[in-house]
Amino acid sequence: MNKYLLRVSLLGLILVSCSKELDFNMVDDIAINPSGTIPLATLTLNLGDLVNDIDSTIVVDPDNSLRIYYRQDSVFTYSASDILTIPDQDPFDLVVTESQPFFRVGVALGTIAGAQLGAATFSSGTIGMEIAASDSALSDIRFELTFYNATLNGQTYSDTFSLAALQRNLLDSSIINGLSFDFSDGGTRVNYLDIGIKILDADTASLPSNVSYSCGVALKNLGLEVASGFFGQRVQAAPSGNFNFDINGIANFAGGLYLTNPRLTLITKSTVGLPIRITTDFDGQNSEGTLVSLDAPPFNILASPAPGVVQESRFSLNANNSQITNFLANIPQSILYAGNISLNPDGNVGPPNFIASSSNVVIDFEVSVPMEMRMEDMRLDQTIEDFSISAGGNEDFFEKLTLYFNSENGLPLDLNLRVILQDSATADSIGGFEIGLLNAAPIDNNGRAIAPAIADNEVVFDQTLIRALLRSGSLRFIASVNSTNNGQDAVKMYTDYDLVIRAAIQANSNIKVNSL
Amino acid sequence: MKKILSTLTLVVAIVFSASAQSDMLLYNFNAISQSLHTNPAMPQQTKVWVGLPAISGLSTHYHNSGFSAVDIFEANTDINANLRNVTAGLDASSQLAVSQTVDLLGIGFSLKKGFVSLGATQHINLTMDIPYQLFEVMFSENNNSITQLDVSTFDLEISNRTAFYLGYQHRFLNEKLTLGLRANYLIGQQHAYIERSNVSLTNDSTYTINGRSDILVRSAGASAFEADAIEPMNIALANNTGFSFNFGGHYQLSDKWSFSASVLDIGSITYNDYTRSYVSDSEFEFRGIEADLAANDFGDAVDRAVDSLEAGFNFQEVDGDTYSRSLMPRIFAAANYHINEKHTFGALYHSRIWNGEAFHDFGVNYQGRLSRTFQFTAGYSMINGTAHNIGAGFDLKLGAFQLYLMSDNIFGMVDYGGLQTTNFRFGINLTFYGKKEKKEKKKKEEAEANTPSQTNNESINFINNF
Repeated sequence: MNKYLLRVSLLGLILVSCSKELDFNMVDDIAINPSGTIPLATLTLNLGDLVNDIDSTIVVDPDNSLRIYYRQDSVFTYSASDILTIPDQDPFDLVVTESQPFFRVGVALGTIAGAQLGAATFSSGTIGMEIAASDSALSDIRFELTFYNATLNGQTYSDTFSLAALQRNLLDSSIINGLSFDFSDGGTRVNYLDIGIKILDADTASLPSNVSYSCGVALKNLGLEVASGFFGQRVQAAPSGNFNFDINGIANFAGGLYLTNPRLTLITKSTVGLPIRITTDFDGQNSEGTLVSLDAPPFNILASPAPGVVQESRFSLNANNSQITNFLANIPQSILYAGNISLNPDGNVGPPNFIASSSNVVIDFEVSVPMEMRMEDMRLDQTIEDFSISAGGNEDFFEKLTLYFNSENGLPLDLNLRVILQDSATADSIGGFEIGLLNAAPIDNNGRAIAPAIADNEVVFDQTLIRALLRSGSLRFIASVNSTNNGQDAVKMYTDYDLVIRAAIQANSNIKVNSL
Repeated sequence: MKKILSTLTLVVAIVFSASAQSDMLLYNFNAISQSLHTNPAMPQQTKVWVGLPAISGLSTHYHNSGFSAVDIFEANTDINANLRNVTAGLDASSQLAVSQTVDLLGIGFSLKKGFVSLGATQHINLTMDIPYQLFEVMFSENNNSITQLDVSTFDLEISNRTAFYLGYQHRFLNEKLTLGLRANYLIGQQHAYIERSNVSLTNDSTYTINGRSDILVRSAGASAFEADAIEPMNIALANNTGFSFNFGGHYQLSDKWSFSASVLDIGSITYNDYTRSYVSDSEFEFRGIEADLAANDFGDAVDRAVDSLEAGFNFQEVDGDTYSRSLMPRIFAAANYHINEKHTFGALYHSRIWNGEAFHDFGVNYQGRLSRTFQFTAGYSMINGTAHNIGAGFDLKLGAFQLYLMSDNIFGMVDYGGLQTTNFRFGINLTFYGKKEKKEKKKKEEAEANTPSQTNNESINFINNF
C-alpha cells in the first residue's frame, strides 16, 4: 500500500513538473481589434423640397425651374405729412377803433419750401385771437373775425370774440376743423388769405372813444385734409433700416454666385398728386460681412392722376443700370437701406399737386430672379467651436479610420470640401483633409442637368491624423461650389434635381482591455 | 477585469481539476449504485443501498472543446498571438458544457431476480456553442469585421430540474441478460434555450448594413423572481413537468466477455409556469443617419438612427407561451473483457445528442474489483475531440459507509491550465452486501453439482455477488 501511494505521489510530482506556468497578468496586454464598416449617414436632397417651406425664397416656375423670389413690402413709406405741412402762422395784427370799427386785409399764408397752395381743407387747427386794448371799457366789447375766402359748412367763416368789461386784454381761440380755404383769390393768387375784423358794438355809448384795439389773428396746428397747388421743390429723407435676405440653401455661402439674368424691382404705389424722384441706397451684407452696393439710379414716381387713385410705378434694376450682378453674387444675408425723395424735382410744371391726409407713397423691394447662374468659388466657411473627442487616455484606440463618401449628384454643381483641424489652444491648423465631395452633373445646351454624376472619396485617418483629431478644439469647414465646367457654364436649377450623399466609416480598432 | 478573469479561471480550473470521477468511468464502476444513473440494467454489487440525503452523489462536469487556460495564459508568450491561435481553432462544433448533479435521495434493494431503485436528483446544466464568430471579430487578424457577422449556429441551453426516479432491472436467461428501465418524473425550475438564433449583420455595400434576425429564445422560471413576493414552493414545484425514461441492457456473453448499452433521458418537459419568450424576426437595412437636407432636420437624427436599429431587430418579449423541450438523450455502449473475478478491461462509447447534433466520446478503462473494501478504476477517454483525459476513481467501504471519488481527468488536478474536460463525482452511501459465507457455500454446492450451466451462472454472477 505504501509503495502504491509512493508511486502515485511520484506521478503527481512528475505531472506538476510538466505543467506549464500561467500568467494572468497577461490580461493587461490583451488587445481587441474588431473592425467594421459602419454607415454614418445617408443624406438626400430634392430641390423641389426646398420650395415647400412657406417661408421659402425659392419658387417654382411653370416649367419646374426654380426662381429666387423675395419681396419686402414698404421698405420706404412717406405719409402726407412727410410731403406737405403748413407751419404755424405768425399772428396777423389788425387794429380797430371806435372811429374805424372795421378792418379787412389780404395776407399771405406762410408755407414751406415755396409751396404755393391754391386750396386746402384743414382737418384740424385753431384760430388764435389776441386782443390788446389801449384802455378798458365799462361793458363787454364784441369783435367779429371773418375769413372771406374760407367756408365752413358752406358758409363764409366768421367767429366772435368778446373783451370783457373793465378788461384791456383777451386771449382766445377757436377750432376750425373742416375749414376750407380758397387761396387763389379767383385764380389770380396763391396762398392768399382775406381776413376782416369788426367791432360789433361800435354804435353804443359804452364804447370808449380814442381807444384802439389791436387784434392778433394766428392759424396754428393746421392739419391738412386735402390740399392742392404746388407743394414746393424739396428733398425729404427716409429713415434707414435693414431687412434679412435669406435664400434657402445658399444663405450661409459667400460670393461667387453669378446670376445670368439678375433683376430687382422697386415698386412704388403713390396716392399723392405730385411727381417724386426717389434715390435709394441698398447695400447687401453677406455672411462674412462683406458689403456690396446695389448702386441703383434715382427713378421717378409718377403722380397719382386723381385723388384716391393709386398710381403704381415699377422700376427694374438690371445688370445695365445697377450693380445687381455683384450685389447678388455677394449672396447678401442682410440688406441695409437708406434713401430720400425729391418732391417736384422738375419744378412747378405740369398739373397742380394734390394731396389728402390719407395719401402716401410706399416703396416695395422685390427680387425675382430665375435660378440660372454660374457659380465660381462660391464659398462656405464655417467653424465648429468647442469640438472635442475623448479617447479616454487610449490614443491608439483606433489603428486606422477610413471615411468613405459617395454621392449621386443630380445638381450641376461641384462641391469641394476642405476640413481643417484646429489646435484647441492656438486655433492653428494641425491637420486636415480635402475631398471633392460632389461632381457636377453634366448639362445640355440649355444648362439643364441630364444625368447624375457619381463621386467616390475616401479619407484615411492614420495615427497622425487621429492624434490631430483628438487634439483639435475646433473644426473648420471650407466648402467651395462651382457650377459645371469649373464654374464657367451657366446652369439652371429645376425641381427634379436630386442629390444623395452617403458616408460610412471603416474602423480598425486596437482596444486595450485594461483601458476599458 | 484582470482579477475577475483570473479568479474565474482559477476557480473553474481548480474546482474541476479537483474532481475524480466521470460518467466515462462511472458507467462500468458498479461498485457504487450511482452507476445506475448511466445504465438502469447495470448489475449491482450491493443488496441494499441508501444514498445519504444531498451527499450521496455530487457531481460536476466541465467541458470546453475550444481551448484551455494555458492556450491563452501560458507565461512568457504573446497573449494576443495565443488568442489568435485559439480563435483559429474554434469552429461551429466548439462547445462549452458545465453541469452539476446532486443526488437528493436514493435507495435501492435487490429482489430475487431484480433490483429496485428510487430517489431524486437535481440537475443543473449549461450547454452552449462557443461563439467563435465573436472571437474572430475580437482577435482574428482577417475575419474581424463586425459588419460581416453571420451567427446562425449559436445554441445555448440552461436548465435546472429535479428528477424523481423509479428504476427496476431484471435478470433473464439464467442471469445472462439484464434489462433495466428507469422512469423519471421531472420538474423544471428554470430553463432557457435558444430555439433559433439566426442573426446576421453584413455590409451589402460600404454604405449599407443589412440586418437579419430570426431569433427565438424561450425561458421558464426566471421571471418568477420578478414578482414582488417570491413564492419558493411555486418555483421549486413549478408546473413545468414531464417524464423521461432510461433504458438499459447488460449481457454476459461468456466468462470473459460482457456487453452493455443504455439509452438515457428519452423524454421532455412541458414548461407552463413563468414562461417568457424573446422573439426577433425581421430584416432591415441600416444606412446611418438618414436626413433630408431640405428639411434641415438634424436635431434628433442620431436618436432616430439608434431607434431605427432597435426597431430593426424588433425584439419582443412574450409571456405565457407554453413550450416543450426534449432532454438531451445519451447513449452508452460498452464491451468488457474479464481477465478474472478481480480485473476487467473495458471499452466504452458514449454519445449525447443536442439540437440534432451528436457529440461522441470514446474510452478504455480498467476496473479493479480488488475487495469489497476497496475497488478501483482508471481509464483513458477522448471526449468530444479532447484527448488525453486520464481518469481514475475508487470506492472505499468503511463498514456500511461507502465513500467514492471519481474524475475523468485527474491530470487536471495538477495541470489545471491545460484542462479542457473533466468531471468530478463524490459521494457517501450506505451499502450492504450479502454475506460472503453464504456465497462461498453456495459456490461450493454448485461446484459439486458440476453442471455447465451452473458454472456459467457462477461466472455471470461474480459482479452481482461480489
